[in-house]
Amino acid sequence: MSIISWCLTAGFAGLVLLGFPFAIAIALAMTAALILADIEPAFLAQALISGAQQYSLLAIPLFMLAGELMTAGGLSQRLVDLAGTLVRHRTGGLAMVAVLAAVVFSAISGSAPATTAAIGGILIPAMARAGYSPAFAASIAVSAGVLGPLIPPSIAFVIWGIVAEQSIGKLFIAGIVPGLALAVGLLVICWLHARRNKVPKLPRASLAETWKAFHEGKWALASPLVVLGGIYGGVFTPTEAAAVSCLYALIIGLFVERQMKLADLPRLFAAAMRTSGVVCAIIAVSTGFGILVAQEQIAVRFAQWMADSIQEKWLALASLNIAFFLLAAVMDEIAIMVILGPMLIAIGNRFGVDPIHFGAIIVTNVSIGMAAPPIGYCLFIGMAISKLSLGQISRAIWPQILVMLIVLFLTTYIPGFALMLQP
Amino acid sequence: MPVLAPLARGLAWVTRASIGLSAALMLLAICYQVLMRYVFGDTPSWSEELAVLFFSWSVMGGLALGVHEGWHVRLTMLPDLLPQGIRAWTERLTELVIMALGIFLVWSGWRFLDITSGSVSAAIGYPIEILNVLALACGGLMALFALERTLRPAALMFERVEVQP
Repeated sequence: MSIISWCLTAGFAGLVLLGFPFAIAIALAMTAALILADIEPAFLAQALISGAQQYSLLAIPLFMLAGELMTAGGLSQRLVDLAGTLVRHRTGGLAMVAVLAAVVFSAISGSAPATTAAIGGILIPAMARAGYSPAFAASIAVSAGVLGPLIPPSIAFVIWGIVAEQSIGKLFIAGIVPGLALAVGLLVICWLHARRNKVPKLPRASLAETWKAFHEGKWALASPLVVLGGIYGGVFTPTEAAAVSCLYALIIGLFVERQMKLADLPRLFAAAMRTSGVVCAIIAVSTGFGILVAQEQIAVRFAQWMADSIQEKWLALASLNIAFFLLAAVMDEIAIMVILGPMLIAIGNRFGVDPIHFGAIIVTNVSIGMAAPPIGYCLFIGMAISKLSLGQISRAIWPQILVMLIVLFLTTYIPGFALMLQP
Repeated sequence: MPVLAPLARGLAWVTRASIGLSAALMLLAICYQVLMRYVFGDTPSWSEELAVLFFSWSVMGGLALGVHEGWHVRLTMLPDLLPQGIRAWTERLTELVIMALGIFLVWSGWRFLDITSGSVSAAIGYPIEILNVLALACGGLMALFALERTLRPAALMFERVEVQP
């Protein structure tokens, strides 16, 4: 291996283990490579600027902002109220409300943390009051948040589309079936949990109450139609859809629901930019890293080595999923996707996996990583809302993780599962 | 250095505010683009480039601000094993390395500015220095924020501004 390859692999891994932030570790590994290989130092600045100049990336802060605005504007509450009138009287009804509301919220925000925060903030306390164990309430909100990256629009698919240079619209569609399958699996868990623990049922909503909830929730329900209808109707790009979604949430929150004030906006903008900044910084810095990785043919050689070691496609995909699951236990999922992107793509190509199908596999892995102990980002949001420990939520979430792994299995080994809705 | 902490706080405030403003302007530019294209049938040539320029600052300002506020994603499994006293020193060492990276980025940005000076952007035609100086600014802020964290007392060493859900 050349000195550049050593810097980009062992050097980067060492820096991460020493506790350097991922974005900084990438930049440091790159800088070390530039100095040791006597490459023009302006490469670092150039790579950083070109990394931040990708138009599709704008969708990330905008979808995060849309999620913040929807929650602050009261639209999340409307979704929960509406789902409540439909299923609260069933066994496990209130937990099912969390899943159904998350399905709709996912079709607006595209982010797992935003979905967990929006739904969990309302439903974790309500479920605990209704007789569910607080740990289960938190775990179902955390696992429902996982629907965020699977159901379109999805920030994770936007990132993978940029990394793998694939159609973001096609990738979005590939997440629908895995997302809905996961939602069904979570509904079954809600039912089983409530039945086994004899959680009391809530009274059925009257027709008048249901109609009122529909009437009040119409703006929230229309939002996914605006976003997804706009993208697939050819009206706007995913980035524009994210901007329109923000504008829609602003208008509804400020002038229709009137639950948001102009004075709230700086705080909401700052929160969205900070959350997205964590992700965007890694992606921007990784651009130059990716160029050096490609130049050194690290990804291709790794894929070749893997192909020489593992002959069967099914085994390669299983190894990839297991490696992703283990890596996600110690590393941020988006960082894995971006930093290891070139290697993952090379492996996918080497084994002849359809690029859209491969995107669905990767994003399903990313989604699971968001909820899987010990460092799933949504877990920390669930902890913050419920005031429970990581251990308490981790013990309660394993049945949901099992369902997620079943969905991952189906997505990985039945290409038609994820590609079912492709035109 | 008694001046450094207030200076870093002030610059962090300005960076935070400018990032929020960039987000708002970016949103306006894209919404204007959609409105003009579908209502008036006249796609502006400048809106996308302007939105990307604002986004570039939000990314690079965010990279620097993350150093000040300690919210960049990191793995602390090994450092957490160290006793608190030693941990504070390893943390200072980490911040010093980040400061060095910031200084290198300033140099790199300066060279890049020099190489590209005189060029203009593709659509609007603004001087490309407006865009390229952002890397230099990011490096300078990173270096200053990392230095300020290095000089913090051990008790404040691990201060982290939590990401609001």
